[in-house]
Amino acid sequence: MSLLEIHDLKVHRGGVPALRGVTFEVDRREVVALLGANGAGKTTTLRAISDLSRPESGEIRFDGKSIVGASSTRVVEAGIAHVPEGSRIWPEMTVVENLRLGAYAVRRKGSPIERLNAVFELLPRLAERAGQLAGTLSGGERQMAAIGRALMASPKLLLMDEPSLGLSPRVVDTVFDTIQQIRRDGVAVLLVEQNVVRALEIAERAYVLEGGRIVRQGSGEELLDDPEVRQAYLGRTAGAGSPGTEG
Amino acid sequence: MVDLLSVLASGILVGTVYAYMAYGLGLIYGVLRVVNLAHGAFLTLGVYVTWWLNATFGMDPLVSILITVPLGFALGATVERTLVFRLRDSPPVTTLLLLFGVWLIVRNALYLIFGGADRSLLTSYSLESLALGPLTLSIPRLIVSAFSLLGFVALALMLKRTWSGLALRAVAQDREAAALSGVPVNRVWAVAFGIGSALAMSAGSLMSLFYSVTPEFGARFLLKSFCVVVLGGLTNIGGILVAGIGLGIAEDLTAFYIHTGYRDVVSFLVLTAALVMRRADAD
Ligand SMILES: Nc1ncnc2c1ncn2[C@@H]1O[C@H](COP(=O)(O)OP(=O)(O)O)[C@@H](O)[C@H]1O
Ligand SMILES: [Mg+2]
Repeated sequence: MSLLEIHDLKVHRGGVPALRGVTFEVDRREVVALLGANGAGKTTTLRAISDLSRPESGEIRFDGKSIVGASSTRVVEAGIAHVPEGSRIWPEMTVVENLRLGAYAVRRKGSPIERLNAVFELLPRLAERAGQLAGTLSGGERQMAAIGRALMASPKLLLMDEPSLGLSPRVVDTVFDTIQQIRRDGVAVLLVEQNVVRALEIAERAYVLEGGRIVRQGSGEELLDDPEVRQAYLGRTAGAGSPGTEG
Repeated sequence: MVDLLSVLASGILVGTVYAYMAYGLGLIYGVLRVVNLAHGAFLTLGVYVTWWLNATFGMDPLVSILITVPLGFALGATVERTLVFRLRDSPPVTTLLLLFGVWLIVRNALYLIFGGADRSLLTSYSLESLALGPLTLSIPRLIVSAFSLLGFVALALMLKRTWSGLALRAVAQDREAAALSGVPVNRVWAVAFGIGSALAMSAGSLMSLFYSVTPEFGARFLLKSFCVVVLGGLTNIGGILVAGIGLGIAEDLTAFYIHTGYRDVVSFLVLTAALVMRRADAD
């Protein structure tokens, strides 16, 4: 039994099909990349898992239990945290308030202070910025804050939606190092990335979405060597990092 | 000079109550993006409940806050759960009309129960005043102002320190991100509406100390609340406090140097000016 099992998932966005029957799984402690062009349905997949978009049909099982129709709150309580596209931190709260509230779902379990210290250890930059309003952070720091906030929920599975988007190459390195560290700490990661090479390098397995369907799957290495994948994505993204220089 | 000081002092005291009265409107808008046109109904209801408790049991208006706060919370949360929540996905004007309907119902119910006569209450300290050097300050105004400030401090602490407070602010700033951290957004909406209404109703308790009330009471003070909230910046506690005090002073200056009859025109003019200026900023 895998940690996350998704079967024949169909989701509409704005009345139009965005996912047309998606099936895949994520095992414990594994990094799985979800790739695809803009509009392929990557964000919709993550939103459906977190109950931000309700599926038309299909099954989502986590830890063996169905979570279709479970509220976002229940999903987080079950152990799935989500770093949304564009970080979405609360700009008028301080960094430490952002992090504290990330532990809302587990506020009656364990020690929030311990978790906070663990996040500061993983992302030391956040400790330096702790008292600052999150809206004043740089793009890279915001992304770190969003990752830290999600980790405060002590997840078993972390959903990450384009965490390196718009960041400078150096900050992208930090983000990918952080993902490696998160995996080493025993958390599985479902990683949506436009930075295909970097994602395939660290992912055990990957799926390629196109028009709301999975069109390709395999280990990270297999897909890196796949001529069609190379032609479709690597031509554009080979070399250092992504465009954009915000850090 | 002494006149001016007295006017300023009294304006400041009334202004803090204005801020307290208005804050709920801003909180509800900030969290739910809903303009609570029933705000005036909760204010008016608060004054009547306080008046009735005083007339029937001789209860002090300040003690009746212990009743109007939970009652306002329960009523507000119920209105949100049963009515506002159902219209979440409809255009904003639908909710506006619905809440306007709630106000009309409350107003007419008050006419039915209490009639249209002016109701006012008198306590042992209603007419007392405190001489502070050359200044004379009304004791009820001092007390009410102190309670309003206390209420503000309690609110600020709640928003800063408690899980509920953090959750309210998070939903106001980014609802989906709040949901992704496990915040039960539906419940936070009901809580926000409840707190906003509890503030309005307890403001009614405070205001009963120096205003008489008819079922039309709410209209006047809804407009003033709008004025304070628009000037002060919706959920910004400090801004709303400053805006409330500003309005209190402006009204008292107008009443003293121009004519008492123009007191209620001030909020209308200020609100219009603020909206026109915003408009100009946006263009
Ligand atoms: N808010 C929305 N309303 C309507 N349609 C949307 C919305 N967001 C995305 N879509 C549509 O859903 C499809 C999948 O989008 P998305 O999941 O965001 O793709 P990706 O994350 O892979 O770029 C696209 O066709 C997109 O146009
Ligand atoms: Mg996307």
